[in-house]
Amino acid sequence: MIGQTQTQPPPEAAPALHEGGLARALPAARRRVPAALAAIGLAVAILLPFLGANPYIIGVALTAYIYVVVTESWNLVLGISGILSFAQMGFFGVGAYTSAKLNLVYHLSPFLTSLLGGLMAVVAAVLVGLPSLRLRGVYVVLLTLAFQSILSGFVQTDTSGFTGGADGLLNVDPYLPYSLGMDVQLNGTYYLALAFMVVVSLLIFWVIRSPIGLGLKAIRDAEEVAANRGVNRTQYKMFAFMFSAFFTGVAGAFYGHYAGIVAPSVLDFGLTMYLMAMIVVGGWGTFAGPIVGTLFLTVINERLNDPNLIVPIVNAPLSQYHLIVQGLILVLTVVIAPRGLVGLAHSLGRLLDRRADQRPARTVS
Amino acid sequence: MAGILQSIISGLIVGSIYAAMAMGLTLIYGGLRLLNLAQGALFMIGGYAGWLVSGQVGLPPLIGMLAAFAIVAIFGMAIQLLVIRRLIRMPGWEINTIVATLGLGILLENVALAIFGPQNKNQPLLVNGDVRLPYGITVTNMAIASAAITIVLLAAMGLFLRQSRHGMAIRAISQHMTAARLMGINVERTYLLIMAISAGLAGLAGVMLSAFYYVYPSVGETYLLKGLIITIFGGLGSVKGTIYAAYIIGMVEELVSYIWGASWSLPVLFLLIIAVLVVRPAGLFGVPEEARL
Repeated sequence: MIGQTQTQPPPEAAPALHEGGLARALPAARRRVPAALAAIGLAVAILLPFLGANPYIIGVALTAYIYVVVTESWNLVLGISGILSFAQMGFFGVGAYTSAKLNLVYHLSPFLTSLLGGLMAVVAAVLVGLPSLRLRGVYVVLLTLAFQSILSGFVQTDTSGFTGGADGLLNVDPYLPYSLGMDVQLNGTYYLALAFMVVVSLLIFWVIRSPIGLGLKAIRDAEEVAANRGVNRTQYKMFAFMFSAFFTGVAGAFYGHYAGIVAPSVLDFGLTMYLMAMIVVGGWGTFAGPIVGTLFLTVINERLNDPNLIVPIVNAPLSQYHLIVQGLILVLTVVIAPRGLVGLAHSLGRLLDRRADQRPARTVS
Repeated sequence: MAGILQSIISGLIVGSIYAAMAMGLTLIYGGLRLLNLAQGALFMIGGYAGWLVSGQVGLPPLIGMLAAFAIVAIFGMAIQLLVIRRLIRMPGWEINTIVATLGLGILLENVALAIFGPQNKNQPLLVNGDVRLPYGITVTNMAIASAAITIVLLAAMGLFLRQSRHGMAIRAISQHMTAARLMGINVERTYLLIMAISAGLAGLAGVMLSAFYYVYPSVGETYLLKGLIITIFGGLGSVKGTIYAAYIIGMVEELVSYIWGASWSLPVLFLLIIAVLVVRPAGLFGVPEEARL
């Protein structure tokens, strides 16, 4: 349904000896554009600290990498498997709180507690998944929304001191000690986040391309058919759920150790919306979508935070209304370009391919 | 004992208002097969509409209620025409409509925040005074009036669905859209009607509930969740189930708040709904597809 796989035969299948060799070579080159863009992006990311970026920009980029892990994992559930889960930021919160608490109470290494945070998120995923994954989409929406709102309500009203209540857990240890010096510490954490994002993205890329990914897409597109062909629906969905919860939990832990504080704001519904908008704007059900969307919305959000942008009539800075803008972006994307930026790029590429063919446009299903 | 009786009575009253709210979700799910996550925002708009018309302009509260119904119904039609009509039955429409209505909810909530600010607004009461029952139980006249209005309204809606041409069109579409279309029913117009009625009901519930509590921009979030719990508890798309579920949920909520405190009501409701779904996945009054509405 979403992000359908391309059924058009590749142009290479056409006779190779044909006039217009250059025009024919172009589509093949175009196919390498995503890989080339990824390589350029990675190079820029690696060089960013040396390009004169100030600590603020490094921090924004670092946060974006953590979000990419979350949106990429969430997309595996939402876009690839078609499970309407809103629990992702709940797993993020579980990972963040577990890791911070273990670090504060037992003084364990942040690297170890991050893994434990991820495992705790998996436990939460099993608890949420067991009652909900057997059910139809609408029920999954309710139960996962419920999970998040119960968690958020519990943390905010907790006065026992276990979660720190509305203040959150403070003085969480960073991954790298501050004794390294501010710059080295920040840049080191930055590269840690970058490596984390790359590793998780490659893993998810591999899962999407693997038979498991194929099974998940089959469940999404034709649940009954997939079941009849021997795909164990609940098992596959549960795998996607647990897999994505683990990395989201670790991402939450990473965020906590980077920021030094875990507050109930990680469970805010606004943040859930923000990350969901990233997936939708980028294009769900595709591998590139969450990455493109996360980077795009991070840049947009930074632009919106510019205090010099004034909304004319009400004479207030635009940053005050960023949730309105976000809601608007989300709705407009779904209505105008439901397949997101990556979907638009695909359509553009296909259009160019057809031009290069110099044949009357064929109708593409 | 008196406390428990009091909670049961407030549960019945709150339940009848929940019924109006959840009925909107049920109608939309029954007719369009979609989950409207903007329903909470529509509830909030109803609250503000009532507050503007009767609290600020000074018209009688009953006019405020009617105005809220009409204004929110117009919002509902706008959502149908601008957003849902473009998405429905397109590839991936189920997930797209959920995300779009969720985005709309956030959008409307923050527009309200920008216009009205985060302060609580008081809704004027429909009637003053209260009734004293034995065992020291008191019920405000406002509560009785609200419950009475919703019950009359729900009865009228039942009559509308069973007897009128448009009501029958809604039921026909909810049973089999293609067949309904083949019988000459204008599906587009009926969708618009469904959206208008269900939005109006959410708006009305917004005015009435905020007369007991307050209106503020994010007021709809909890009620959206409660509305979803009720519709699923009662069996998605079942009118009868929704009404029973609304009263049961209302009473459970009041009893839990009385015994363990208000912060426990939502978690207990969720545990209840999980238990129901595990035992009866189609909800308490789950009906087969062909017997909807």
